[in-house]
Amino acid sequence: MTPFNAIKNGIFFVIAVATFVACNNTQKNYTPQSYVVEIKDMQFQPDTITLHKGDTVTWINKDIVAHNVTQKEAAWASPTLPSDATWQKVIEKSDSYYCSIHINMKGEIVVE
Amino acid sequence: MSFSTKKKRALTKTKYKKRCYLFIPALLYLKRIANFYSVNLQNSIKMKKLKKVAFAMSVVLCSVAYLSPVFGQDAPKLTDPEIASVAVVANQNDIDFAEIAKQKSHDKKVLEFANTMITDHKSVIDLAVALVTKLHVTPKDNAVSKQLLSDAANTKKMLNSKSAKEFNKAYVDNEVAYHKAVISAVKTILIPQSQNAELKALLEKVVPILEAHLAHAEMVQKEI
Ligand SMILES: [Cu+2]
Repeated sequence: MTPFNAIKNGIFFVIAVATFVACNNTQKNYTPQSYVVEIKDMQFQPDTITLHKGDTVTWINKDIVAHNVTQKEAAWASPTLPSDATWQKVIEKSDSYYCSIHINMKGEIVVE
Repeated sequence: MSFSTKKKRALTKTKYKKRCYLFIPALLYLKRIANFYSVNLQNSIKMKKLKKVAFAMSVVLCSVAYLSPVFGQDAPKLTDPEIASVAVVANQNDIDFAEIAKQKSHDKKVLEFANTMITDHKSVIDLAVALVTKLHVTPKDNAVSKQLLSDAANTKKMLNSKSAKEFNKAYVDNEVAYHKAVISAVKTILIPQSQNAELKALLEKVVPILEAHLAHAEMVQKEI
């Protein structure tokens, strides 16, 4: 190995390690946030929630009737949430959801 | 509760005694109502019993499309026990219509809607019964409820007479008209005339539920 090559390899190695550490740190330093969506007066409030992957959304039913939180294609769904019940989910991707009991109640999750 | 305070003030000892005697059957009624509403409403035998109780209370069973002629230009003055009666009945009414739908319809959207009506209106009745029990109020029938009772019988007869094919449209059309009329009655009569704050608050909570039902019914109406 020529000195030049050794230096070149050394630089690459340092860059590689630095990149790895930097990326790793970004992930470790991101503290997942918690968001609350109130189900109130037959609406998801707010009806659109913007967050990051890994964040948690908690739905709270503030109505006197039961609701649920169902992904548009029923990929996931909460159980029936009676008055005052809560349900939470760690968000992986953007999704549309609705209440399958009251089909015109709709909500949106936007992952940015 | 203004009417109960007024009553209490006016009561002599003898009257009070009399009132206590009257109160016992009233309490028994409430207990029966509470029991009936907690049983499985889909059980047809129990439904019959429940209907008997509804009749015993002279609760209003109606198509509230008939509310307007009843109320006319001069809105009737209703006391809180009368408002409670109208509220319980307006909800029970829609449960009854939905029960007919469950027997007669095979349409997924209609059946889903009917199930929502049963669940939601049952929740409202449960809360209304819990509230009147807490307030020691017995729902009281009145001119409006009596009129609505006979109108409801006609609506049910109409729904029952429809063929399976005609039924879905008849049921959903009635639901749209019914919810419009109930929303109007709750907003313009029941809420403004409620004296008790908790009764008023409960009625206010019911409005968005009825509005969601109306939107749901109109959606189904377009699709069938
Ligand atoms: Cu809902």
